[in-house]
Amino acid sequence: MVESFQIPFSIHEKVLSNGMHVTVVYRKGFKRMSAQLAFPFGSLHQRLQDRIGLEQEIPAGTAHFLEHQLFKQADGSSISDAFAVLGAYDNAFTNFDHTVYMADCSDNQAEVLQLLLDYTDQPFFEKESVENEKEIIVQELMMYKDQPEESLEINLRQGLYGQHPAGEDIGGTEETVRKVTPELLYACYDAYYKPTLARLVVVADLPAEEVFALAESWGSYKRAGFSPLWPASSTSPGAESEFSIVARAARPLIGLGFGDYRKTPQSGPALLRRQLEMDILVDLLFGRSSAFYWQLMEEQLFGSSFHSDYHATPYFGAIILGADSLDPVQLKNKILTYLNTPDLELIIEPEAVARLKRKTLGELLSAFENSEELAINLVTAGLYGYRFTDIPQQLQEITETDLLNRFRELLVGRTPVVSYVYPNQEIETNDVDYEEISE
Amino acid sequence: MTNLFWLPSDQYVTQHVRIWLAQPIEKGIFSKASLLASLLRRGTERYPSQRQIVEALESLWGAEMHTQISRVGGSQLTTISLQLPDGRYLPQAGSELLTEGIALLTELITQPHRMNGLFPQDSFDQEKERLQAAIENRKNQRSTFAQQRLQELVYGDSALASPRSGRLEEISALQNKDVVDFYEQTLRNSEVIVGLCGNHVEDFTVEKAQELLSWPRQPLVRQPLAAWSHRQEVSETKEVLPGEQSQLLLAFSSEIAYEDPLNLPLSVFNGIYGAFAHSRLFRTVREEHGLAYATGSRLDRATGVITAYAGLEASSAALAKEKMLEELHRLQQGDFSEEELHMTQQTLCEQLRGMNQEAEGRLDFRINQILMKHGDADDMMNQIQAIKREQVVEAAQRVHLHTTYFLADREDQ
Repeated sequence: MVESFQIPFSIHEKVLSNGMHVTVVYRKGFKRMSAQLAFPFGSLHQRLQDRIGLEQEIPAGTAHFLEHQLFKQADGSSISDAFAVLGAYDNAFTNFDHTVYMADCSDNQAEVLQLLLDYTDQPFFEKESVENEKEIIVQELMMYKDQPEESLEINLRQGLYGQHPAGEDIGGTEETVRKVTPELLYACYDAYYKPTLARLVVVADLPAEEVFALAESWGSYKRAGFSPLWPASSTSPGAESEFSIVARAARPLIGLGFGDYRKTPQSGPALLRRQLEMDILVDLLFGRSSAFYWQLMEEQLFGSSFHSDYHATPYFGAIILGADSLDPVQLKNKILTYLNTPDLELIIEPEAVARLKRKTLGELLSAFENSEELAINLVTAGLYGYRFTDIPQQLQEITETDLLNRFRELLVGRTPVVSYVYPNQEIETNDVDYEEISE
Repeated sequence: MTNLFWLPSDQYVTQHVRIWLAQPIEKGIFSKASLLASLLRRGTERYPSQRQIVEALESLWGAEMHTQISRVGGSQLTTISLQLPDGRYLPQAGSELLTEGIALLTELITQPHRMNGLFPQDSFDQEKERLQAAIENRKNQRSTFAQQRLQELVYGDSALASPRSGRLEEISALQNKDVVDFYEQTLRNSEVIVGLCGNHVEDFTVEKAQELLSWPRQPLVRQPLAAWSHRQEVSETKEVLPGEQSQLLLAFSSEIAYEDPLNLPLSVFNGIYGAFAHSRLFRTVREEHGLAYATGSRLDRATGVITAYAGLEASSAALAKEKMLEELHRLQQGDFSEEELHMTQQTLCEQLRGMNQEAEGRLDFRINQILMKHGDADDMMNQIQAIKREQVVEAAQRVHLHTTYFLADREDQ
């Protein structure tokens, strides 16, 4: 069945004379602007080249550190104050392969956009401030370390990607964070925050030409000739395929991963196509409308949730299943037995596939509702080299045979990486030591 | 007649339907409401299994249905929401999507799948277990766990002490019949409010929605919530939960009720003190002293209670507490700049503007407006902009330390 889809807003794209890629979504009558400026620098980038061609190592977590530091102004203030004065909200995040700076506002849209462009163009990294930031980031890492779900995921990624940096924490470790210096940050900024690598997405009731004009002058920072080096793809799993740790968790947790390895980084429409195929396949097999999900529910093999997902970047990808379970080993066995069921391929049938394609189309439309979410999607699509609006066409072309091929390629006869977290104490909630002092 | 409102707009690409069931809060209500919300999703007379409901939602172009338990002022709120694609952009979906969606929501509430009057026992057992697991797992989030412990310490015996998803000991004691009774009581006694937001659909009127969503019930008398009182002596509690990071929380009472003219000035005070990245706590505890990554403060406008928090090393706790109290003291003396006041007013107004642009935000705002009887967004923004520094100082001076909670990460701290 062919489903039609009408893109709700007009989308304007341009490569400016400074090399920056800009996308403007013209949302007429909508009073709020969402702007995002992204650079392809994330935790996977661990080497760069200096001006004479020598390779320099980048400690794990540097991209995230740079993101924190870019907020710092020469006068000691934070750029967030300047946004607040304009009535704007600003934020930023770093992931495996990019860093995004964002600003949202209703009033003063052009000024806010200008401010976003200005501060990202004026790095100021100073020793005392960098040293102070280390303490803050170490506390951030401790916060994640305190979450058993994070430890579960780190082990799972180590098993899936081995020595590849996808196996490491995006924020690095206390040890690597302490190695960061202002000089290193300037070198990374120089290499990866180039206008030709930058992507700006603005969703607003603003004429595209006005946005293009504002962004035209970005890139005034004087560069010293550092060049980026791009990560390799994850080609094989790590040495270990089973991890089990004891942590402060309320209930046992399990994560299972089936790696999707590639010889070279994959991007463009092929990456999008694979993501869409895998979303449907994973839903068919493990989603909330699958018979298997409800079988697990009836046998109470998971506690509060059983989730399944396929996630891919150009450099790595995997199907990830996860749950809290009082009997995680039994759950794992159940999943493996299920995947070996004769005739399981029959699950890939036209009616269910058509229903899930419909669902994907509806979700695509919903992604246009929230400007911030839309901007994130467009940033990712731009960096990964595909068009977000190609989804309906791509979706339409997916056949049952494609899904069958993905199933055989990624799941049949494969041994998953398994990560367990077991509670270090009895399952009881009131196990805290209690002591009350009254003044 | 159902209290129904429609916020029409052609700005959105999806249609939103919300049904709110509001009841006065009382002890144990959050546990029952949470379990009931889970059970309502398990099946209807037309779709006896949740798997069928999920399939039906997928067929409605991936419509999303959620239930949520919350508190607004003195009311416990069960929210059932549906987000549907707007047929304008999916020509084959047609204009019947909204009618189908509302029919499904109504069935979930008025025709849950039951056997001999009870919820199917296996569904009941499974949902009870899932809810208990979800509550236990919350302990994995150390800061959430600490917030909840503080809430218990502040509100003691009151219904306000309960987490929104309920308490383990209450849920484990619930029987199928208890939840059925609660369901019937909810249908009979709840105030029901329905909100729609999205583009006008031809052939679909408020009257038609009224018709789809009607069932007999009694109107509710809303109880205003009194502000939480000061303590004679500050209560201090320290607990140990082994981990990597300690949590420091300070709760302050103000005795400023929602209806009090100082309530919005209190909100501005909280903005200068800790709500934002330009606030004092972020600037001092995090940026100046590097003691914490996560630090800030929250205000419950209904009870006038402010909570300041920081995730930190145990050895930094004394200094962080000193800074938190020092900043409060400064603000009480009026020691803040015009710029800080201005930034806070701007940020609060922008939050309101932002909220009132998105469909979901508008629905959230409107239900608050109905239950708390406040003005519209423009009224509120005008009020915020008109707040004078003296009012902020006056509100700040009403703020007193009430309860401190320290969750240490090791025994010896």
